Amino acid sequence: MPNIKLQSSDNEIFIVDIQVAKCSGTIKAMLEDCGMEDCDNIVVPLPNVNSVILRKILEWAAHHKDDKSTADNGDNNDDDDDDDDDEDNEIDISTWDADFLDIGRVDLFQLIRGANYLNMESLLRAACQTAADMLKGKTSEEMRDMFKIKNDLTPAEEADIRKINGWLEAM
Amino acid sequence: MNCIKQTTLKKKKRNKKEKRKLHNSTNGHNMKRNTHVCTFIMDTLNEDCLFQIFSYLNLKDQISLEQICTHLSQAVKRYWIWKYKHCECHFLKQPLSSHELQILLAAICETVEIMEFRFFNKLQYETLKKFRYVKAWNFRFTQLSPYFMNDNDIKDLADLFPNLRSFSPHGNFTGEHIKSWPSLTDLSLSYCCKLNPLTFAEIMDKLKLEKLQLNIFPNYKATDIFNGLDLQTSYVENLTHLKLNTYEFYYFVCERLPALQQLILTNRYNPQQIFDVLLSKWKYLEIMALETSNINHILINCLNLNMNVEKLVIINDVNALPLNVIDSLHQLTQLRELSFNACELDVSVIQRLLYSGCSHLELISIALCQFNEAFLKLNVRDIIINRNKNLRFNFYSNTLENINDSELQTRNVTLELNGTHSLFEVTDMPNNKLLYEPLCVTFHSKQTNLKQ
Repeated sequence: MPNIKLQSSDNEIFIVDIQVAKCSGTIKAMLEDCGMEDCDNIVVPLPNVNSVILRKILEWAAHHKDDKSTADNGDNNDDDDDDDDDEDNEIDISTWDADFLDIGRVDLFQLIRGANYLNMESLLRAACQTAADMLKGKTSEEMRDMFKIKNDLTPAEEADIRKINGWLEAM
Repeated sequence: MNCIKQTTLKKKKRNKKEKRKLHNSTNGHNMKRNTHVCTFIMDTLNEDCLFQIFSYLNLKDQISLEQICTHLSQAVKRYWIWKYKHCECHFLKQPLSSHELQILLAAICETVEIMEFRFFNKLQYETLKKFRYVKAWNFRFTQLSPYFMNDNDIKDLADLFPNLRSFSPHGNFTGEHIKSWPSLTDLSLSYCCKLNPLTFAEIMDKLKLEKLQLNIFPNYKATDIFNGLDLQTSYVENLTHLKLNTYEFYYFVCERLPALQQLILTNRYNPQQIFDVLLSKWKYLEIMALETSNINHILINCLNLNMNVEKLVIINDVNALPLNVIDSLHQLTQLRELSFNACELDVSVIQRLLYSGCSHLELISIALCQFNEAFLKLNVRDIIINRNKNLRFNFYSNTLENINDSELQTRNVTLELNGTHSLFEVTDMPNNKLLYEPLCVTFHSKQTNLKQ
């Protein structure tokens, strides 16, 4: 099996089976467009992905390399044009995937970015849904607390919102 | 209802949290970095990723997210503007407070094109009135009883939706003020339970309607007056779609409806009357397709009147294909498509239909039907005999029902083909476009100069 070398943002070199690397739509397109047959001597720099995340992504790719249409982006994008209010577009996440994605939020968001950059549709979907699951059913306060996001609404805006909310709850 | 949903969600959450805690105890370093998450999310994720996360959240969660910080607020609003050209809210499934609705409407009011509100309430209506929707062309809503809107509200709505073309209101409206809403071309009055027939006649005079759905008369106001209703002065030249009950059909039958493309009858009709008396005198030569639950009678009419029907759809018929019908099909020389949906069928009759050499047919579709046997065996050679055109045979989700030990058992009917031929193609597709109304008539479309 031919290999390809991928270089993370912190300059670590990963030697990867080309079939695994092709799970990334970005890398697949690059290889096909450039007609690179002999990849052994090529180092692909990935300045947007650090080694921790790249290792994680490659783990996913190795596990899913035989899936159909892993790198098939575009075809499956139409599932969210119906009413997502009913959460109809949820996908089933397998146990392996769920365990794989059971990581800290920081890592999860970096993983999403990596998957987006490398164009890995199935990982992107599973990771985005996992992120969404963390938010579901929470109030703004709980979400804010969860993300430790500093509230940058002005006190006046905040008071305004509280007033309307309070008034409604009183009714 | 809200509470129930919240608690079940929280329960789910708790399970996940516990799982996560377990994991974090082994990977403790994750916890320390959380304080940076704030700017981190926005810096890390581009709009593609954020939108994808939003797409897995329901509207209520999205609204909560919108209130977290200005960055997220802007991102959510951009998502709504992109997403909610068509805004559909089911307020029983997803109870939004008027404050939450206001956040959503404020973001999308200038861009939204289609609005569908189910189980709208008074507070939400007051919120709706705070904005104007200049790009909206389609607005439909249902209310929870007791109905809070009255005729004067139509006047307000006409002001809020100055460019509305398609309108489907629900409530105690008499129809007053609808007539002075000139942008309307598509009107559904089925849920206006107090529609006044005289006001309706005025609406027909003043508005240049293209689509009309009634199925409301005779209501308690219409008992006597409506018999004398006169649509002579009405503007019916643009009407392309009519959905009526047979009672209402009589008011249009004297009219020349040059643009009409589709007529749907919503109640059980007397086929003798509709066809012999009305359709036969009216526009029978222009009928292109029929969807009906009464093939036997319709076929007789098609034959007697030499109709040029190209497409027949039979739905919900317990005797969908009597043997004499197969012979009659030969005489309908223009017929190209024959479909059975949710009918009761006999294996031997289907075999006979396919072997009978109806070589003018190009599509035979059987979907969601009940069969008397679990296998449908077909000899392809017998099907393509005398055939020079392709035949597509669509066979989708047909079942055999058995009552064993007073228990209803359902199994799928298996299609067994003996041989293949390039002229015979088998597909497996649902027919989603069916209306399941008692009668749907589609007319040949003519090249008219109507503007859209």
